[in-house]
Amino acid sequence: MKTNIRELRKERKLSQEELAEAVGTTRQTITSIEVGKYIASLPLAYKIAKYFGKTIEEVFDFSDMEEQ
Amino acid sequence: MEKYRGKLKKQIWINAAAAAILVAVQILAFSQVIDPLAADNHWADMWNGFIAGASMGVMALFIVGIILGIRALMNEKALKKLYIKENDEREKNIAIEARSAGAQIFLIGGLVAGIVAGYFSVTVSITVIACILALSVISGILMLIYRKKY
Repeated sequence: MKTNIRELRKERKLSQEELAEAVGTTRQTITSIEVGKYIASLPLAYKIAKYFGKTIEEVFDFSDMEEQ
Repeated sequence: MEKYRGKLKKQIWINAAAAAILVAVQILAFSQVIDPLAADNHWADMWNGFIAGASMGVMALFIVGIILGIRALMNEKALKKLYIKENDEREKNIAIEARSAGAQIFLIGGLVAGIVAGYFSVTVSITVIACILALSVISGILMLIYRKKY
């Protein structure tokens, strides 16, 4: 699944470690979500979106699912 | 975080109790109150050495757990880090998938091993098949429980 996390992070000059700490997960999980290897759970997706002040759809790209 | 703090304290006590039990067993073994079951003295010595080494290794794990736990309890940042590490959803998913795949491989491999062992040793064959049966029954019961839960 594609996400805008990396772009949003860079806009705010935020490291993966800092984002991970803010949303209560590990840096490795953030890396995996960013590269699309891991799909975040709904609670984690909500936390990440809320942290950036966006909706889940604005952070996570669900177009692949819509095609299915 | 307070709930986790309480859980960590409990874990430290369990680790300490387990380490104490291992020390007691080692003292009993060294004073020869208890001896490992083996056919002859050669194997008894070897087995005793293996058990002693394994006990030391497991005890080291318990002690590391106690040290990490105490360190986390004394430092809020370390406590949060440990909490995140233990509760990270990706790590939990990896563990669940790895255990599930491992159990499946063990079931299939064990079944084949149990049948093949039947041509060489009845005891080994029955032991392996009993292990497979126990794992299957436990998995089945857990499946029923989790179906009710979710």
